[in-house]
Amino acid sequence: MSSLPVYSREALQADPPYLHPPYASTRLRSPREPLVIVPHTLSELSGPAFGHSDVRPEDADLTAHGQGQPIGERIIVHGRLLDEKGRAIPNSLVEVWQANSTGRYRHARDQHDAPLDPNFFGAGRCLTDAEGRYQFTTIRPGAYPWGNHPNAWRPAHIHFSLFGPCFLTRLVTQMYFPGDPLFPFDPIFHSVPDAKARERMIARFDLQATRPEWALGFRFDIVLRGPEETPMEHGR
Amino acid sequence: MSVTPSQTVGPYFQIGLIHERWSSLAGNGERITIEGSVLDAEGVPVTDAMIEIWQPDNKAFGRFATDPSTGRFAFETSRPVSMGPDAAAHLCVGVFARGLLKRLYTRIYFDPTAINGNDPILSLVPYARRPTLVAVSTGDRRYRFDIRFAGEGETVFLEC
Ligand SMILES: [Fe+2]
Repeated sequence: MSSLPVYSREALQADPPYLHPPYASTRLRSPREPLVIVPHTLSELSGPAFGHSDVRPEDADLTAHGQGQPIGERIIVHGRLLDEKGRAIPNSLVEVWQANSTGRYRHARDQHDAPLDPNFFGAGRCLTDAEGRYQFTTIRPGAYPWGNHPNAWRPAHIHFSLFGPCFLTRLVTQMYFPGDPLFPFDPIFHSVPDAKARERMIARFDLQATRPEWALGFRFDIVLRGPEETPMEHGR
Repeated sequence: MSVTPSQTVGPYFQIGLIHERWSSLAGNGERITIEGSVLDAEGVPVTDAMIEIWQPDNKAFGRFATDPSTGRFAFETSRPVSMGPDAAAHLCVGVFARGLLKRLYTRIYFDPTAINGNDPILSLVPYARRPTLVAVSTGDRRYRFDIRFAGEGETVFLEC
């Protein structure tokens, strides 16, 4: 059997801590005991392979599931799923969910006094292609208030869920929009301690991906942990 | 290149992430049920958590939310088997929730004697805390496994 891939732990530095007191919900939900740092066994180095299961092309178009067009600014969100070495992660499940253009989620617990859109459900998914590319068509989500502190508003965002090749590459994150005036006030965005790392959660406006007369484009590349290069890779 | 940082799943993950097809884990062999609660630092049930189960011995995957009123969960899978001479049979568990800025990782073991064995992960855990990683048999192929974020009986969480 070939040797197991080797993942460094350096990437973990980019993540927020569990306890980030400005985000109130972390106070009772973060472990007090130190984590036990474990070696990477086959269990962490394997993971679900979804292949082409039941993902349909229309699942990547969040505007196509109602009787008519949803209200709001139509956008294209696309990018590549890569690892730390810049290698494409092909055929990997990407899942997204988001508020509608008014900042309201289609969810029983969302009590924000903003209208639901009968033509917008807010969920999408796709598989990355051979070059790690993904693309969604959707509506630009609105900012929304939340109860974290007085006059708290989340910057507009799209939730992203990524798998990559194994258990330890799993990532759930949020994609933000460039130039959002709410960034300085958002404790979730600022839970990421490093400013450069925070920037990696912000999509950039992409004129190339903008479809004339139809939708603005945004580019969001996502980088997951990746294995060190193996001697075999050097040799080819 | 540098990795994209983690952010919380927030309270509305059901919209995009919860599908009936992942509510139990595929697999042949003896079917077992694991049930429990997710609890916060004060022991209050977490009614908006998401749990993912990765079963490495048969490559099964499951994902479900805790009950929105009780914080309880239950899922079915095939009894895991050991994958190596020292490795004790286990499931890998990822927990996500509002208030969790990144996934919590823990494991569910099934053999109560594993805490005295040579499992490469379990043997790194302080002895007194190892039982938090072992599901309690409640008979009839049923097990109980609670996930406590912090406080009394805090679950051991792992960093990989
Ligand atoms: Fe959100």
